[in-house]
Amino acid sequence: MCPPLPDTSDITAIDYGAEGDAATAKLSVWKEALYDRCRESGVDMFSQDDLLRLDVIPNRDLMLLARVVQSLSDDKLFITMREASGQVLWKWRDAQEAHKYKQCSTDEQIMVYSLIDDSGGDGIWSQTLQRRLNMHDSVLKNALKQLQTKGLIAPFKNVEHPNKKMYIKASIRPSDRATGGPWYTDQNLDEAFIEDLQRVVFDFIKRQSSYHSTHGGGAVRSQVPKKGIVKGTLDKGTVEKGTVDKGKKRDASQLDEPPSKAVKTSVVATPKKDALLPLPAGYTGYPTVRDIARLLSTSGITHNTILSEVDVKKLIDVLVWDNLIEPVKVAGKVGYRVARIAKQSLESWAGREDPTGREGGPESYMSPFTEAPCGRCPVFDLCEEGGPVGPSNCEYFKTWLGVE
Amino acid sequence: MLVTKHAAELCALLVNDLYGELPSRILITLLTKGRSTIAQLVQHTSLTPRHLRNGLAVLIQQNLLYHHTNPDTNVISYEANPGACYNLVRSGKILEIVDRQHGTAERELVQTLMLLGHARIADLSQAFGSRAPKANGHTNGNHDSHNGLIESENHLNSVLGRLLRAEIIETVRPDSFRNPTDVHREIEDDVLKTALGEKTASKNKAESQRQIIDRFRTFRDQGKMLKRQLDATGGFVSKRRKLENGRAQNGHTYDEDAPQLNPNVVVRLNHERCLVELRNQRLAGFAADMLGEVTGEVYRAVLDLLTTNFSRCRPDVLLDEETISQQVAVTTVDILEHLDESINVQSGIGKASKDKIDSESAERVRTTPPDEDYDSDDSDAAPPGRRPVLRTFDIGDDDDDDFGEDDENSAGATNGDRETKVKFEGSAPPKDTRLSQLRQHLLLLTESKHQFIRHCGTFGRGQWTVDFTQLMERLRETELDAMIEQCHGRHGLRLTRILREKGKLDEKMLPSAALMKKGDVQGKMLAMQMAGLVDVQEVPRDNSRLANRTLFFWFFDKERSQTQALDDIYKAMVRCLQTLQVERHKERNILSFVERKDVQGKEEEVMTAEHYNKYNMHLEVQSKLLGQVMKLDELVAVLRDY
Repeated sequence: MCPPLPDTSDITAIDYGAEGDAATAKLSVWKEALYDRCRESGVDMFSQDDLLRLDVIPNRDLMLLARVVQSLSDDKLFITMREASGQVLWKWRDAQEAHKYKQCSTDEQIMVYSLIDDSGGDGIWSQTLQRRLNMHDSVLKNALKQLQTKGLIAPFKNVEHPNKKMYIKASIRPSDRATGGPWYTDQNLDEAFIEDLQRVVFDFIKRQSSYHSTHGGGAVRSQVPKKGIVKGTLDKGTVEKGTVDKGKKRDASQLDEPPSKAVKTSVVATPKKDALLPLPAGYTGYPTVRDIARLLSTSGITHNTILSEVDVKKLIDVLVWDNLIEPVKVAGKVGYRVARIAKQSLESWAGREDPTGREGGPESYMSPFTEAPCGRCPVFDLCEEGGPVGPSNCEYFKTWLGVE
Repeated sequence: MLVTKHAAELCALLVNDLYGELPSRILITLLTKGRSTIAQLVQHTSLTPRHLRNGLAVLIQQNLLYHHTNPDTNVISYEANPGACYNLVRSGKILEIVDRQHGTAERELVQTLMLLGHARIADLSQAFGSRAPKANGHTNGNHDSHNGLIESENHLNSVLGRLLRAEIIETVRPDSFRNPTDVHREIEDDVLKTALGEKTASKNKAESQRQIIDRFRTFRDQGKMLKRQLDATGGFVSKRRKLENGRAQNGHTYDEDAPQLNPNVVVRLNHERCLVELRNQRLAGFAADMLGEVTGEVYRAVLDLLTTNFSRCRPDVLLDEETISQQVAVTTVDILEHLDESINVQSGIGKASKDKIDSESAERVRTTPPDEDYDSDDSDAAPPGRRPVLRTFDIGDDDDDDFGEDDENSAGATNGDRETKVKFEGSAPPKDTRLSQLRQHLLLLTESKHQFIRHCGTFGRGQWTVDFTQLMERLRETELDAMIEQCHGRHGLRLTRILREKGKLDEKMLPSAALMKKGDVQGKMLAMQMAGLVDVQEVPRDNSRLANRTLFFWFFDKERSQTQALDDIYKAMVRCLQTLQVERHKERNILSFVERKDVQGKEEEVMTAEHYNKYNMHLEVQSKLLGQVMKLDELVAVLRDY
């Protein structure tokens, strides 16, 4: 039902007027029908064939389809996209969103807004806008300003490019990639938060993956221990008392206990011979990522930040990479336990005020190389007998050996 | 063996310290100039040939040189043996371990051999035999053992026999002074020359390769000929030695009929075998550091048993053998027998209730060494022979607790003597409980991240083996990690570990993986790149070569970091020794006074208080520096030798 080609120009003027009205009305019906069908189909992208298959356009009239789609695109209800292969596809857009385009008063604003709209949650850099649109700087600025006053777009900071001026649609929240997820506060990596969380997690794993012995793990033949000496003096979360409460060891209430409190009691108990011992092979109680995530969420130390299991896994991975904890797979599930257990202190790491951050922290293996001055020497590469720095005039050795 | 500048310096310094300046000067010339003849040495050192020959004699006596006489031209060439030179630093450690493992008499003999370099058995027996009258001969048989020193020729023979059979000492023949690489090449040439006349098919190639290896092995094992003879004659001695291993030195009842050794045989210390024992000590220390003292002791016993027949730590590169008698396994029963009685296997492991223990995972038997990426845990299929396992757990579980709540379920035997009387019929004999406690330690070693041992069979209450190659790799990594952590902080360690795990990684990925600020990551990476730990590969995305169109991939080069670390350690050792020299020079007046015969032994009486204090201070400084050198040597051993 292609409109007939006009023979002469004067007739057309009138004819077209009357016929045009009808055609516009029909077109809008088809438009609506096609748009609704698209929305109902549940598919995101439509090729030309897909659109024809929706049975809206009679006779599979390509020309008509072209006009309908063109009109929909003009109304911003359809988004035109091009595949890598060159095929053109269409996507439908929410009517409400499309309406926002109507608020844009100039073409420039529409162009700018459509680019910002396309960028979605990640936002777009003002320079990119300029490069894409090839607009004059002042025109672009003007357009952005007006869009902002209309409340359609908002400036924001992306953590990946903190120095770039980015814009995003005002109606949506920036994506996790742009905000950096829970680890960022005001677009800055919250290192203090991460560090403190690491300490809490480390303490938790240390307590859950070790056995608190009051006799130490020495190789000497130990006497038969006195009865009841340990009762009540030990940290409940860590120690199992004989066979009495077997199996009740890590119930939920203990899991939720704030870590600092639990450890404080254990420090009071005979600190001298206390030691942490490894648990027997095959122990299934090593905390998993889920356990740790639960601890963090129930303890409330993260305030209003919500940590997903994926986030917690990230935190744990970092601790593993730091050689502080190690994964262990027992009975098909991966738990975590503290590394180098025999040398770890009983104190807790978290909640300390000292600036060095080492006190009560994990005991890592000291390399003999760095114990002597040479391993930490800032001029090690220059050091040469007879050179400006050398063994005969080494200040570091003098201090280390305590001579002069 | 290739030597870096610092390694060469270290060798020269050690030789200088022990044997004086002349040998040291010759040695450094040999190290820098390579293989030389006397004439060349004269030219390089500007020494007279007479001096030179004196110096060379010392070096040869101490096995610090390779020399070879060309059969055609009769020209002798000398070459430094840097490995042997370096081994001088380990003398103290070797003596200590021989004392611990074999006994005082053995240590004395090894010490004598160290002083002499190599010696004829006849000379040794003369030296030790002349002592006999002092100890009233060997009529007072009981007398001999109390100070443990060698007191008669007969005793010497038995000690020699024992050490030869333990491969601690080996016989020396002219060939011993040849560079093994040379010998290998010669054999290779020889084999290929004969093959040249015939058809050289690929089948022949494999054949000649085998022939080369065979002949080289014969060459290498010549030093153990005597051992083999001894093994063939006296079968029961080995058992005795094994028993002595555990209980260090209680009374050396030596064989009255010790086999008479050929007095013309020349012997010297075999460092390679000593290294095996030193490695055991290091590994046991490593395990103790990771899991606790008791477990370390248990591990030591396992290692001692496993390595009895190891003659070296690493397979010889010249022989294409992949693993050296790798598949030796010991049973739990053997370990228990070998373990020192005084070790309380009851302690050292925490306690957990039975339902918290998954015995299947703990007791899983792995018959083959795990792959590099140890993630093959999915094969959880229960292997045969599961039945005894459960029983062990029932007993072991209650007993490895180390405080004595009076629980009724306990097997009792270990929980104090009062219960044993009552529970005779039900409980296992104490030996069995000790066995199951021991098994707990073994399982713990197996489960560790470092996989100290591998549970490889169920015979004899479990068979255990150690995958040394992989284990040493992990120990090396631990050492390297510690160095990185202390030089570049926790964050530096984190970044390198990420790179090691993931391989090459885009710069943009690092901050999010390490939870660090972008700027911090860049600073850290740059510092580590300067230190030679990590490096970056640039991959341009297009032809423009712009920085923002380029991908930066960081990677961690383990090989390179290790060699670099090794050289740094050499340098640190050199600096320690040099500082010691400086200190000695500073106190030379006091030291020369102390050296006087009439002062030695009564320093405190003879010297003024001020001088005596100074002298003591110097001794402290010296022991601190030497102790540091020993610690660094431990690192070198881990990175290079074990």
